Amino acid sequence: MRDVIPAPVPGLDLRREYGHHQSSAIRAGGLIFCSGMVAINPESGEREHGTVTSEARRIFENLKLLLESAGSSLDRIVQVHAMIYDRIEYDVLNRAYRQYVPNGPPARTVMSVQIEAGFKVMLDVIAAAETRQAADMTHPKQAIEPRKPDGDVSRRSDLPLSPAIRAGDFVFFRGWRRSIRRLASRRTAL
Amino acid sequence: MAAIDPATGEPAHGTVAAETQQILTNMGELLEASGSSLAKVVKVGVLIYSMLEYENMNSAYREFFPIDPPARTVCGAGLIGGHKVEIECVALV
Repeated sequence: MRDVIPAPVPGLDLRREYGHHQSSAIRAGGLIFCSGMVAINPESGEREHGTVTSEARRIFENLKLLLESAGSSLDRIVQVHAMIYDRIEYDVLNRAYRQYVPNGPPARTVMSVQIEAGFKVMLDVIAAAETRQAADMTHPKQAIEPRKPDGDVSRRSDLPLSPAIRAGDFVFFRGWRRSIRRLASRRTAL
Repeated sequence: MAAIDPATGEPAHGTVAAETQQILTNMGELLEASGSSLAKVVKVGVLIYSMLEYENMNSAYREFFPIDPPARTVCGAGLIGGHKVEIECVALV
C-alpha cells in the first residue's frame, strides 16, 4: 500500500510552487517518508531564508502540519537526516532542534551539503504512521537502549538523538562515526 | 546507484541528464528483477555534484515517474569516481 500524502497547505506543495517533481510525503509500510523539507512559508510558498535557527523552526512547524495531516506527529519521527550548509553551525542546529524533539528524539545523522536555493537547513524525515498495527503497540516507536549505557556517546554528550529507534518491522540507526566504532570495539558491544 | 553501462559494467560518465536517465533505467530494471517497480518507489535520495544542475536532473527525472512521484530529497555533495549523480531509493515489493 503506497499512499500519497498531499501538501496540507498550498504553500508546501513544492511540485506546484517550484516544479520539484516529488510528492510531499508517501505513506507505506506503516511509515511516512517525507520529502526533504526547507524553510517555506506555508501560506504563500515563499522561501524564508534566514538563520539556521529560524530555518529549523520553520521546517519543524511545516513538518508538524504535514505529519499531523497524515495522522502522525513530531513525536513519531523515527529518523532524521539533518543537512546544514556548514558544520560550524552544528551546535546552533542542535539548540533549535532539541526544542522540537524533547522526548525520545529520533535517530539522527547530520551532514553538511549544498542545499537547494541557498538554504542553510534541510531535514529529511521518516515518521511512524498511525496504523492499526501501531495502535496495538504501547507506542509506535521505541528507542533501542544500548546494552552498555556507558557505550552510548549520544547520552554522554547530551545530543538530541537516540542511537536507534524501532518502528514496526524496522530499526533506524543514527549515523555512526569512527569514534563510536572505536568505542564499540573497545567495549565489545554497544 | 551511479551511472553504469549495464552491458559492460563500466561507469557511464555523461551530463547530469544522461547520468540520471542511465541510473533510473538501471534502477527500474533492478526493481523489476526484485518484484518491485519504479511505480512502487516511496522515497528517493538524489545526490548531485552541483546544485546548479538541479533542473537538468529534475527534467530527466520527471520522465520516469509520470504519476504520483515518490517523496524525494536532493542535495549537492562530493561524489566518488567522477560521477555527477548518485540516486538511492526505498521501494515496496
